[in-house]
Amino acid sequence: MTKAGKYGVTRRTFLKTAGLAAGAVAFPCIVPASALGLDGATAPSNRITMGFIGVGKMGKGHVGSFLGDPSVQILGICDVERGRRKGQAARCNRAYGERYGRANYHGCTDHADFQEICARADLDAMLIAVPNHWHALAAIEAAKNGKDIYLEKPLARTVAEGRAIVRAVRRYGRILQVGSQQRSNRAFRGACELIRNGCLGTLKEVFVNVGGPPGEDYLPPEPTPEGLDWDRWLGPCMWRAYSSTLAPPESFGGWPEWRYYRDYAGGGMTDFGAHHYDIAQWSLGMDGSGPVKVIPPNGKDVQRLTYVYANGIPMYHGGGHPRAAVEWVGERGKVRVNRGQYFETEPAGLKNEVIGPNGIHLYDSPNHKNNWLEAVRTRREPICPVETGQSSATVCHIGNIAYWLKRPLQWDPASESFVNDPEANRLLSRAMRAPWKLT
Amino acid sequence: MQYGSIGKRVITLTLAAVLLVLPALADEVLEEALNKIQYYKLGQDGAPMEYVIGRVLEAQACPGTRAALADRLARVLATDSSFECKKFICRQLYIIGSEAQLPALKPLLTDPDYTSLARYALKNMPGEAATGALLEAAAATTGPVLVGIINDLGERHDPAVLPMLATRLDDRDAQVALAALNGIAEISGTEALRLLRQALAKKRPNAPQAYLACLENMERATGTPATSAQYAFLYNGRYSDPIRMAALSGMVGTGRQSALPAVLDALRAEDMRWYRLGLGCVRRLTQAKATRTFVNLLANLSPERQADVLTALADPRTPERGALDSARKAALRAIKSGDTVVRVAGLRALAHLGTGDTVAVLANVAAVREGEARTAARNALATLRGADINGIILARLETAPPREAGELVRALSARHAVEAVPALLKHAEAGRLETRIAALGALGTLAGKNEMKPLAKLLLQTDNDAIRNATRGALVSVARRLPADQDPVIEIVQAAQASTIPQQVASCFSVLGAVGAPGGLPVLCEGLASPDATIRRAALEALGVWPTGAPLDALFQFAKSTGDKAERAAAVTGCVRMARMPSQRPVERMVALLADLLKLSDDPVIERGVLSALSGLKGPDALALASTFLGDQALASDAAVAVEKIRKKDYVATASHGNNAAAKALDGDMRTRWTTGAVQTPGQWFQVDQGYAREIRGIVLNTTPSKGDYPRGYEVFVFNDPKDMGKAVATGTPDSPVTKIIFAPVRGRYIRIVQTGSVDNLFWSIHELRLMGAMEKAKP
Repeated sequence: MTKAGKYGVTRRTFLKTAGLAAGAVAFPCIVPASALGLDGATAPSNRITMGFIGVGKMGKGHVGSFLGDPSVQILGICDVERGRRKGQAARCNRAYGERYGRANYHGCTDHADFQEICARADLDAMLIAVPNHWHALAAIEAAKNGKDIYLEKPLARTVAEGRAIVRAVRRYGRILQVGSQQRSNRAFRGACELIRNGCLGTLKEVFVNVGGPPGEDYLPPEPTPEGLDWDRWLGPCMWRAYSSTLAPPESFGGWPEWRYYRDYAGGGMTDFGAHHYDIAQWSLGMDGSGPVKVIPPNGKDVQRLTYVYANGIPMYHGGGHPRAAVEWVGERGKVRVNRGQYFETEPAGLKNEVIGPNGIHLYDSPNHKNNWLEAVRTRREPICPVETGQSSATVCHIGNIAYWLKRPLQWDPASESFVNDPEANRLLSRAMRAPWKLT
Repeated sequence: MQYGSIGKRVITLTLAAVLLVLPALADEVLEEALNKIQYYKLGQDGAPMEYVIGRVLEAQACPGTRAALADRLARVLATDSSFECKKFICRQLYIIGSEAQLPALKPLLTDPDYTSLARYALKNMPGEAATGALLEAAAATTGPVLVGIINDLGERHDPAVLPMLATRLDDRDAQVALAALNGIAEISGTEALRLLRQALAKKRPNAPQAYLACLENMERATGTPATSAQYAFLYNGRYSDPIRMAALSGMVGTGRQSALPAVLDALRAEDMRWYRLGLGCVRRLTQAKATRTFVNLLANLSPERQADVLTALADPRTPERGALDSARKAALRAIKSGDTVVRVAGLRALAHLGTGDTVAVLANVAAVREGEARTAARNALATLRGADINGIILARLETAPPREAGELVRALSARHAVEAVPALLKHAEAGRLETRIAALGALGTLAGKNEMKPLAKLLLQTDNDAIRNATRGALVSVARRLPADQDPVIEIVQAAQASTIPQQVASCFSVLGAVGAPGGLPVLCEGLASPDATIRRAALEALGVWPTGAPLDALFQFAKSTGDKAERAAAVTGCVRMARMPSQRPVERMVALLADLLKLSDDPVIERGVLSALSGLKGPDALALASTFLGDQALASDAAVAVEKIRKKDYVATASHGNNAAAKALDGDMRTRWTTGAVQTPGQWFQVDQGYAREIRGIVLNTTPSKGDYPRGYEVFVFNDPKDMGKAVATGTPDSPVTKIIFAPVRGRYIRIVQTGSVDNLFWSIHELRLMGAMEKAKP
């Protein structure tokens, strides 16, 4: 048996076949010579072929970013909204047409069905930027089809859905990067390194500033726009009539508000919590783990939602310095960090502290997207792998459950369950509308 | 007394009555809320639902009220309530429901319109009765409803469900058969595995995926890991690549070395997906035998793959790897490779695999190689971990050849090896020139207050320019790092005062100027009065680069008094530079100083600098001085900019709409704007108060970034009395984003632009407004 035979149709063979016999395969790809590495550009063996699931505000930003990367070729776009998917596929074809000098290039195709695009044999990797209630189903489908994954944060809508993603990714030997891109930012990493190396002395408390929990959906029904597969948009969620607040048209331009409703997401807690709690977890060395208690505010002695870690360190939702997304307070001072390279310490000189080679050096990724591509090529773990995404999102989810139930909860990070609390544990997963299932 | 006793009784009775009535009142409110919810439709007021949610959340922690409330809610399900109502109730039962509510939920389970709602309520409901209800429903339904029910049954992990699922494997509905397959995998166990083996033999779609999931679920449930053979069964079968890859990943996950041959195959595969998977396996298989096997494979791989495998072997996330020495030796062999890719990969691998023994070879590579190899060797030296790496580097430094010594010193600096400072100082003071310079560079990073004195001494004593420059650099770096309360330049000041040799004093002044610490200022100002030109000019140069405006007066006095043209020019240049810095000095004094500076120089560069300084000021004096240049052909455009900036500081903008953002039309930033935030209609206005009356001859309204937002018609008024705008000085109907309005020069404090046009759907915006003074050219 030859190597190629043993390992089935190779991607190189596939690309060549597709180039020679475009139109004869399921997804017609006109692959120019340069895509095959014949013009001195990135060779196909190193080029990552990508598909996109979800090209709304976030997804189309990613399309632009990956289009500019010659080591990547986007071959498919999937969205439940026809105009969006066709528009982004046309955008890719225009860009590649210009790059390859082929006005009629149409190697990037559009798909209405995410299972169809995941089944494509010519794709190495998928970028998934869909509303949170779709994260698990799309990511698991991609993993089952042998695709590496860039998944927008938060990892999933519930703790159980996140765990299902973790299992599928590991079961199928896939690379998954969560889009918590603050990990690939120097200021955030620098702040976390100071904490991890004990530069604040004994850590006393951590403040994390993100939005609040989600609310209920009483939005008025509206006529479903032409071109949108609303049933698919809802997917595993219970039926409701279309709302432009949840799924605004392309012209809206802002961030769609599905993120603020419990059926689809976890409110501000998961939206920015997946960034800022993620940083707090990183700084505490808690990736893959988490707090052991979560106490909601009671208007008396507890003014803020409070997480408590096994070592006794409290982490508060809100509070701290107004400019900081995350503020750490220790016996020797304070560290504050936020987007826009805001990185401040008290005393000021603390942030210039040099960590020697024997100190703790956190994973250094200067660029989140490139870090993922490197991980796809070399199988080195990306900076925000699936387990990390799961533990960070879980911090947000259990905070939401504590807000919801309005009572203190004990959490076991290892088993991902509330301790002796069947009522709270019921809220860790939700039934999915048929035929959708986490498998 | 009696009255008091009656009073107490009344209070007690009232309290009792309230306590008795409160629950009744609450139930009344609940009933009212449920009545409203019964026919609820989306878009209606959510307040009744929020009330019920509050009650549910209160009840969930209290078993007694929980059961009663759940029963009450379930009764609503049996009515002709709306879909949204049933959905809402099922959501609440998801939180507080129990077996007692099954009678209300069962009818919904088999109803295609409501099944997903009932399943939501049943999700995670404890008890066999819930499973029984699902099984009962499964027997009574088909199609998508059955699929959903089977999905939930699987997730309840009850082996009693297996027989029913087994019968469904042959269902004519492919979705039902698939759900049964997944359900079996979810329940897992020996019987489930047997069923899935059968499904694999029958080549049922998705059977391999279910089998893989089942293996994993069994491990989770029983703690017994799957065997390598259970995965190898799939790997060796004729399955799709993703399945075989998952199987190989599973084999590796068992930790058994039996996966090694398959991993080696993957590493040699032509298909990059297999190859990449193989690389991942290299990272995961960390036993000594695996490490040696991968090392032995290297010679048979292409240079690129050798580099990848070496990198994988040196993954810092797997420090527990066995036979690390074997990997280290492979990396050391790689750095001698004729292929750059392999060589660099070897050096990068040594950053994680290297030990003290590796220091010499890395230093040598850093010294003799260039490009990527040098960078990799330097990084490796900087990051080598170990208890005494710094000590080994220092020891090696004593005997290393010059270039290598330089690299070792560099490494100490990069490693922030403060314990090496005494040795570095020794190397800086004597020895080979290259090493001395390198040591001084490292001291700049590592030295502290204690080293300032010996470094200052070295600065004075050396007669070698290269050493002097390097020492100066080190002193500046250290002094800049020291906190202000440690008087960071005292040693330099003392050295300058102690020396009588002009060149030595000049060196000290150079350090003081570059550091810019207040402690250095007096000695530098004294230096301006030195009879020695070397010292004087060094002081002048140091003060000229001072980071604050503190020496401004001293430099100005020097400029006025010196007879040396070059020294005066240098002093004036310094003064102009400082005049542009933020200052507490009164504006009139600053303007007067700038005017005096102009008298000391006719250099156009100085004049431009003065205009630039003026543009940072405000008020009539600054405006008048800047305006004197408007007639100068060479400086007119700089002057116009300065005049505009000075004027704008006095402007106060107001507007009929969007008043809070009116200042954005005057902020000099085209990215910001004032806008009405409403469609253009006649009567909207934008006004500028100049602070005092001035003559103007035109206005430019720039709306370029919001191109449609130019005014469709305008009238311009220039006036002094806010109660009497007088007649319009200009009117027009623009048709482009830049509106130039020119009129006969007119004097006034206020300028108001009134909208006279209208347009559908477009706001009126101004990104930037410019008033043209009487002496300005008509250029917009």
